[in-house]
Amino acid sequence: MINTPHKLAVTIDLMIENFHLQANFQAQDEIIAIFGPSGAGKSTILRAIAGLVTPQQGIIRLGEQTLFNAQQKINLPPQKRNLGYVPQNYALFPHLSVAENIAYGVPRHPRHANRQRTRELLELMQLTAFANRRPDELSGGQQQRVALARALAPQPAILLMDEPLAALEDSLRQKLRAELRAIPQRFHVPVLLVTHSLSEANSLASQLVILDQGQMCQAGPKDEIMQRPITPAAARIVGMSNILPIHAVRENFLQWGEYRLTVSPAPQQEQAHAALVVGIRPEAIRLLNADPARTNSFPVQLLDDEDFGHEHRLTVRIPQQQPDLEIRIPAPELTRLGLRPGDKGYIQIDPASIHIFP
Amino acid sequence: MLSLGAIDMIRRKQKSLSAITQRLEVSLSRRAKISSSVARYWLVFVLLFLWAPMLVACQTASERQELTIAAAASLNTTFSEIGDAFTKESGIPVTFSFAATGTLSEQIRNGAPFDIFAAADTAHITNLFVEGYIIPESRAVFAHGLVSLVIAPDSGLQLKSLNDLKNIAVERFTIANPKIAPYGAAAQTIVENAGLWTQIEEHLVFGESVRQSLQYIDSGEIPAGIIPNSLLLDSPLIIIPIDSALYDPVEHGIGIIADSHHTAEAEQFLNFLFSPQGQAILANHGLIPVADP
Amino acid sequence: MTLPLLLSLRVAALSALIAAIFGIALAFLLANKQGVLWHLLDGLIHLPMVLPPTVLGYYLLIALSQRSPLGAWLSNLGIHLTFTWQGAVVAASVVALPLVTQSARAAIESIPADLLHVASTLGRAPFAIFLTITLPLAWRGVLAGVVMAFARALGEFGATLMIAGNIPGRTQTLPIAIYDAVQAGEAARANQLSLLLTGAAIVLLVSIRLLTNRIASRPQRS
Repeated sequence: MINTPHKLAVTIDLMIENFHLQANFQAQDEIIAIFGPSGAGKSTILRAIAGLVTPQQGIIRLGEQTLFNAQQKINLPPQKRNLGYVPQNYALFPHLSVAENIAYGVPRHPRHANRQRTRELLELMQLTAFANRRPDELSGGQQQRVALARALAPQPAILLMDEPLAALEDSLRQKLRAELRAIPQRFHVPVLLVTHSLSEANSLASQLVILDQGQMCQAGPKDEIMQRPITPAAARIVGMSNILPIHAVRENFLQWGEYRLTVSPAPQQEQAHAALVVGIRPEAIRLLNADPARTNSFPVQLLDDEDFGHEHRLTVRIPQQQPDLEIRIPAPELTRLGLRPGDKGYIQIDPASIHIFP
Repeated sequence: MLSLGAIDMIRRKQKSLSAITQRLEVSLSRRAKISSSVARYWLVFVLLFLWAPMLVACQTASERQELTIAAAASLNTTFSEIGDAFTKESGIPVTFSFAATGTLSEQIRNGAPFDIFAAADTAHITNLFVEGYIIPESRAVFAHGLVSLVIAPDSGLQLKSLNDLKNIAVERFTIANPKIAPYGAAAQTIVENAGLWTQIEEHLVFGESVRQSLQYIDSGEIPAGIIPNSLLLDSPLIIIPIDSALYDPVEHGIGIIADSHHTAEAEQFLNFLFSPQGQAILANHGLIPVADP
Repeated sequence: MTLPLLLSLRVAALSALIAAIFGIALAFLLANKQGVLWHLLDGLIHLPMVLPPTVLGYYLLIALSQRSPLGAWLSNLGIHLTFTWQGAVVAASVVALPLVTQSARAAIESIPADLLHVASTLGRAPFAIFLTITLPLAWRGVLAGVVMAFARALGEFGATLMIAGNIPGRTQTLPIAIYDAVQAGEAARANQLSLLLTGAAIVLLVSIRLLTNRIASRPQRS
């Protein structure tokens, strides 16, 4: 464990051409992921923290150090920010060998220390055999390890990684996810990474910052955000794709069109007004062959089946009810149920999994 | 071309240079691994330019004691011969810069490092003297010059005299630019006095100096023109004398430049120019000497 | 015949060196700076490419003649730039400068920005990055520009004639010697010198082509 990861506090307001980016979050954890669809401005936040773009307004602090403060006119240049940066394509220096790439950020004096540190990192990253190769002679995974080693060499206070797995083949990704997860403990450095893949954000990070169209939606612990997004927009981004309008609330019953949903625990007093919206994750809805005769079970018709191999995404319709619901179900379970588009079945929703937006 | 000795010297220098850079590269790469790749790129640049200062060293020999004479273009062949004769007698090498009198006089005003100015008139010499660029007592007239009508033999022009131009049309006719070349001005006077100006004006091509006008005719580019006699020694062109009533002979003035570091040698050259030997060479080249040889 | 050649080589080499130093520095600044003043400087550097050499030579003559304050000041320091071979170097440098700047700038701007960004987060100052990343990666383009500058300086005539004149052995470069030989009707000499210069130009152009071809054929990294 890292004793005390540096607290990162970011408040920025930035205009690039017609793109307006606003973010405000604090994070103090081993791996933090900035997550959002492409074009949301994720990389730009990373670059602003690194000092490669300058926001118009805001404050960026890392631990005790102020990296940027627009009002106080503090703007440390990138070379003074003490952070490691790994861009999406790794940006290895093509004219330098692997060892020279890694040594680039290590102070050159004293020389034995420079060589010592370089050797150390080559070994840690299992790159010793490639020390004298040029970057274009390496595989994608090796290139990523060189980029990591190079960024870690100056012992930065935080490691910034832009889409660390996007440039890699699927087969490599899984292995490298494990390697990435191990970085904070192996190298005693927190990681702030950017990804557009929900599964990547889920598997790597413990804290998330959700970004959409330049606006920050939510930031906080991963489970909190996955289960309790604060807006429907944030909910859609984190995969809570069933958003239902509620017409009336009475105790722990929600009136949803013709149907009644039971929710537990019961909504707070201040939530109990007419125009309520709830969200349900697609994997929280169970699909059944027969009516289980339990709370929140409804008859449905299967409309669409999208096969992802290991799981399926189904679209189902409750008679005379809108909107249609989305269900994610493991492939073996669907096989066991034997349901196909057009078939009729039942769904059951766990009252605890119904999220009421604040 | 480079002499073998010089090539050998350059080779030896290059050898020792590459040895030095090799050692440099080795020591650099030993010092720190990071430097080696970058250092290699830099060595290319350094090597590329190491020979430039070497060339400077090679060349300093050419800036030895010598006379540099600015001379009117019409004096090209004449002064080349006088220069050779002078060097033979005195041992002082002479370099000439030939151009139109007006061009040279402007260069002198801008600090050109000449020792002597031999012009094709006296007006430019006088102006320079008034402005302080010429040593006053050195001013003199050393010859007078005449011009001729010159025709390219293969042009097919059937001219017997200048006046025939009234009846025979020429496509193009060249004189030196009257603004900067005194012989050009003289040629203009002749054409005007002969009453041919309106007829010829639109066919005129100005040479930058009389040398260029002659070159135009020599190459057959322009069929005819007015050229100083001093450039026509041994010329294969058809040469037709011009009535001396039409113009005053051109006065060749000379003077020593005030900034010259070689005034003694310059005086020596002037003495040679006015000596019987010098005046005889002038006469040989079709100029009218001031002193009877 | 040796003298004009040696003089031309000397002038061209020194001009290329001066143009390289200033050209690379300017390319670095122009690639990194924004603003009206930099655009103005950019235009100024490229003026010699569009102005007739006579105008350039005239400006230089006005600026450097001993009648100008700058010329008088330099003259006091013992530096004479009119009608000396050093003057020819000035003229050729000014003419060659935009060739280096343009080529170097194109090469510098083609370097992926990420490389420079990463280098800066690794704690290196901008100038150190320029020396260790930018130039080594742009060296073919820079070198092609310098060779082009050398070739241009070797062939420089108009501005050189105006500022340095035509003094054999001192300021008579190869192109001016050719001009002089033609004017004096010395066809044989003019032919020899012209062939010499043409040969040199062909060698230089081929080497530029080789350099730039290698740039184009270098594999692109994604």
